[in-house]
Amino acid sequence: MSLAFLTAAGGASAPAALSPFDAATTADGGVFEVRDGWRIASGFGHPAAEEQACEHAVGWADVSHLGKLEIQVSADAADELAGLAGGLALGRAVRDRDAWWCLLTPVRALLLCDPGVLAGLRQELEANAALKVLDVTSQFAALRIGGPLARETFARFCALDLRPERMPVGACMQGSVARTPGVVVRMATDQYVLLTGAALAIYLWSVVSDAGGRLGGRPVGVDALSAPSELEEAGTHA
Amino acid sequence: MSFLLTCPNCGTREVTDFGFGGEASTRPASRPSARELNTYIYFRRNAAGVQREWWHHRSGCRAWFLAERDTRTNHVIWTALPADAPAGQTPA
Amino acid sequence: MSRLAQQPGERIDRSQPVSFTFDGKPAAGFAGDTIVSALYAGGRRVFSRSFKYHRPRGELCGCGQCANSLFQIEGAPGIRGCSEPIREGLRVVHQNAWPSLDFDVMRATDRVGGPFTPVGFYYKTFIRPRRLWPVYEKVLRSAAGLGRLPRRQDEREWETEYRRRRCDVLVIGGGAAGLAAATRAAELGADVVLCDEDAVLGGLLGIEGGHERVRELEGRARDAGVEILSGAPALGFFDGLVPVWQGSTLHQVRADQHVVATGAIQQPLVFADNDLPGVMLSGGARRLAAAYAVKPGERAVVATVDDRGLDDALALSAVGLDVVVADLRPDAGGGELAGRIRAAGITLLTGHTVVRAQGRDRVERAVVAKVDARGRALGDGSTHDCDLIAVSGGSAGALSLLLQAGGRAIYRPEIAGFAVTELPAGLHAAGAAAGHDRAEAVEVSGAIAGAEAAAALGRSPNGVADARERLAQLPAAAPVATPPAQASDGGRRGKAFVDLDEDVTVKDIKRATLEGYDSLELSKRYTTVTMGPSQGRFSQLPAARVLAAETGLDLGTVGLTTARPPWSTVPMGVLAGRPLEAAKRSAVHRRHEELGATVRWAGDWRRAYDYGDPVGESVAVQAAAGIIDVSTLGKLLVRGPDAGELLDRLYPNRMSNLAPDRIRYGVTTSEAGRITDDGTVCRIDDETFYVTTTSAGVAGVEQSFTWWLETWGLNAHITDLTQGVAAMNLAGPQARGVLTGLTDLDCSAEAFKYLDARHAEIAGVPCMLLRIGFVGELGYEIHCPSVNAEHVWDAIVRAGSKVGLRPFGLEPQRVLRLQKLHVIVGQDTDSEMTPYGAGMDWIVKLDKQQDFIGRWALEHTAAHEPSVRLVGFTTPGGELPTEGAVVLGTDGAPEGQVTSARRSPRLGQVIGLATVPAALAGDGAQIWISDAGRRIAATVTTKPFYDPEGEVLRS
Repeated sequence: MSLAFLTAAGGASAPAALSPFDAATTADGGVFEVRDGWRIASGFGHPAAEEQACEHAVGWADVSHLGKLEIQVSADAADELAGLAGGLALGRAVRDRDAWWCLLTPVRALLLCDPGVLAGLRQELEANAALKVLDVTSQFAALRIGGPLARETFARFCALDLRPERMPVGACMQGSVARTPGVVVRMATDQYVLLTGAALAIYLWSVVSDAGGRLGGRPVGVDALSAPSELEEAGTHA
Repeated sequence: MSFLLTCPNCGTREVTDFGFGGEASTRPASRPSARELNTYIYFRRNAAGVQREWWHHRSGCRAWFLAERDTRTNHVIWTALPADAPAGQTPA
Repeated sequence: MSRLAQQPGERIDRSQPVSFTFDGKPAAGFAGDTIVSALYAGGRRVFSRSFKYHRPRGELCGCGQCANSLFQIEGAPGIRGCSEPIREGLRVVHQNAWPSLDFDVMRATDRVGGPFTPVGFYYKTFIRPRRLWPVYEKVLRSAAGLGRLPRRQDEREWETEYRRRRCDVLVIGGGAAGLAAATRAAELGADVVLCDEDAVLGGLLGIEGGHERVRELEGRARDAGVEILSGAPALGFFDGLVPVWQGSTLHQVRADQHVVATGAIQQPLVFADNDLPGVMLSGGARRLAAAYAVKPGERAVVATVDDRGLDDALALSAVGLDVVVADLRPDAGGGELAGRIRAAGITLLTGHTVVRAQGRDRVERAVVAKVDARGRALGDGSTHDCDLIAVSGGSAGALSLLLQAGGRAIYRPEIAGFAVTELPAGLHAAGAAAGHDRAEAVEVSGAIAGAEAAAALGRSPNGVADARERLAQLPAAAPVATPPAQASDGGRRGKAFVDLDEDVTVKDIKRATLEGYDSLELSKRYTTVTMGPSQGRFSQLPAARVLAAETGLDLGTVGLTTARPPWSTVPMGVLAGRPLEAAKRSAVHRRHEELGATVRWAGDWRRAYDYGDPVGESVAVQAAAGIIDVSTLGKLLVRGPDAGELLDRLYPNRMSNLAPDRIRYGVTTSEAGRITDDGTVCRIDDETFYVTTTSAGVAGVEQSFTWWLETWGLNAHITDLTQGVAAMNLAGPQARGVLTGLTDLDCSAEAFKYLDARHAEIAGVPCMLLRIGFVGELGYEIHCPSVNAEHVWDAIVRAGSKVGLRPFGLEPQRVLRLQKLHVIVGQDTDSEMTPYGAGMDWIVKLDKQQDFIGRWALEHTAAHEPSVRLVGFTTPGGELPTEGAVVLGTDGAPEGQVTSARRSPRLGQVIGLATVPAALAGDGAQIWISDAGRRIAATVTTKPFYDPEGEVLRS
């Protein structure tokens, strides 16, 4: 027996993976395409309004297809974990090899990456006997929330202290978001990725739509917010 | 009750982020007498003052940690992962 | 109309008339008017009827603090008319009077009710006879309370947004002190939020002629980057979290430093009929004139104990009122104000106060007399015709937020009131709340507080010492006379009120004292003094003075009661949260909706209870096959070298000797040996176990497991996979056939036995299959990535439809499992149930080496017969008892209860689980169930009703 059942079906004949937001993005008029084995909302039929929202208010995009790995070590191998990606630290999201590396506790880290690089990174990590790797991609719903009112949008449903001095670009914060456990990574000045449990995706979508909608925001396609971020530009020293 | 608490892993959060694990107590090392067992299971000091207690960051990193808090004012003196907790009355 | 010529600093915009209705009749005002200012300008003087005696009440404070002008506005009760702005078309209705505000039949309680409605009457009068209480209750309920809640749900709903705001400094109060503090802190680089309950900033300064200065201060604050929230009361202080309510937004402000500049509240005076409409705080009268250009009367008697009253008298005189001043101080304060009063030609009676108001439903005359220290008139005094009695009974600092934040109040005789000391770190008081009463001192104290707040944040303010020195050199506050508990001419007529909200009189407090309620806390509970909507703002000090006079204690000993949050009245809807429930949904949820499922809450999940035909669904499972979504099951991965050891210590049975690819059922128990959860444990490899828990139990199990893991220092990780792994249970005689068509796995009974686990691809998706069966049929629990779950579900339903497979919901599952007497933890067990009581003696392995959670208690339990046991039952008569119905013991006493009961379509009878006394827990025993008046006979069984030997399950 193995833990293969934790990883979404792959290969040419495999069914497309569905984001936990799928019912919500479909209901909101999403336009879909299949990328890297995932059915992805590439837009919501109003490209100009979506661009406008990201530029002047807030936009949110389903990025649940991002690959997610949990890396675990035993307490006596904590240094092994902290030494990954050129050095991990609590509260930081380190950008390395097309992935963000977030140390959650001294013995657990979360890796967020493009679906295309997931298998390779996983293989590489599993080569290190001290590390135990779990594919938790299906475990989380992921939203990219961006725009000048992104932080204000968060303020409508969570108490995390996202002031820039507490949450600089490249910071990672875990805590209650919309009354459910969440992980927030600040990728650029006005850009955040929010992870919550997959089963809460429909609820979370309604919360973000409720808060963001009142601030003039709207759902946007997966590429609308993927302009090169400061973090990505800043590279590994972020 | 809406004080702040500092998770040793994640930093300062609203107390609603956390689960309360009760005052730190010690599990008997070997088979207790009926009276000792009863005391261990059902009796708490319920201090009006500073007590050492467990908290769980259930909305965050899901780690358990120890804190010393004044139960009268909710003033938190310190929080620490069990391995880093100051010496004192130690849990099980 | 009593509108004055344009006043400097008035808030109304005369170019914008606004019309609204009051009790259905047209009313008018200007933009910027409040309901009260507009109605007052139109000549109305009665704004409400009092709580108990239904006496007519007029305006008191003019600034949204008192309960004298509460209205019902479009479904919302209790709106404060003296701060609520008018809007075009607003429909305002009075409260607590019938048939009208001007003629109220309940006034009879005042006229004749005296002897029948003494203080505490509701504790005394309606006690006997007990059987009449329902009648009393009905009458009391219709008589009590003020406004009316709307009947329709949609009219009750509030749209409130919630906004978290973190900042460095929160300044509460936007008067001179607050503005100065906010500006100073912001100029030193702090992120500052300032809130004020008034729609216009400036506090007292803006009303007392300083509106130009207010404009300057406000401009500086905005330039410094202060976020200003006006019309936004701070509701309370909750361990540093301050909710600030602003219209449709509730700001939840968390600041590092707090400056409380909430000002002071002018106090009333106590004399006979001091509640007649026309008796007003002098500041309230002045506010009507200054802010709304409304002339508050024609002839005024101003009764004061401090300089503020004199200043207000000058202001009233300046807008054209005939004014007579009665100052309790023998020298009228001895300052320049007394001189200015005299210079203005105003009659000034020193050592005098008002002892009685006279008039029929509004002030017509004031009786003014010289009084002794206890307030008794010396001589007959003089009677003055007037339509306004403006009173200034001193100032009480608005200390409630400071006290809620941990400050301590002490009595200061020199200000005839209380002040706060021992402020906790991070809390600063400024302005009148800190005891300053002159404009310059108020402003300087604010700037100091702002600098101190910034300094506490690590900034380096200059000149703080200089400012302190300057503050110290400013002239001290003018002397204040302590008003007597009651000023009286000795006459018996009339009521002297200490609390207008609750209609509590001096006599009531005295009587309560005589009856033994002689401390403020007791008196408060007995007389309800200070418990009304104005939270004791105007009644705390007067009540304390009466109590002090009666008991002979000094005011410092009598003390203050604590005003609890909310400090300002707030609709419940504002606090209720947005109507979005944190619902969990399975990855297959869309399919359930498409199939028309009855979706209900199950813990925090939305689940399919049935698909419209629970009987047909359960029959299909037993006749052919069914599929149920069980993604809600908790799923924990326990991984590491010590994983087996950990589970051995957490479960009463053994887990470390489980072979890979095998499954074992387990219950977890508390240290007291009580069942806390149950589920299966599947060993994936040497170091990896896959543990399922109940749907509702996973968070608790994870917390408990991780706590023990931490405590024991074992080397393992616990990861909650619940939301990422979907699970569905395929069950029924055709289940094997359906599965075989979808996978290459050898699903034969020999290759894939009961309690085996296998990896398999189903319709191209990697899955883990567990051969277990909660519903008692041959079954497979299929676990797969949630992102592929719809695909797997569809494939099974498509393949199964050929053989009669149907999706089934939670309700048919409950019937099916009941036929097997499978226990649902939490439904059939409670917090006292042990494995022995639940008939699971076999699951506790007291012979195992390891210590385990609950072992010691279970050893004890094992040695004693449990008092009740969980057993199955049938009702020969076919009655279906309610779950929770009582099971009677042999002596007829209640000893157990029905935990589950259903009509089984397959068996054609009522079956159930119940806790019964151990003596009746054997097969065939007769029990009686008492169910809301019915007595139902039932027969006990300990063996499953269906497939008792488990042959079907293992097939």
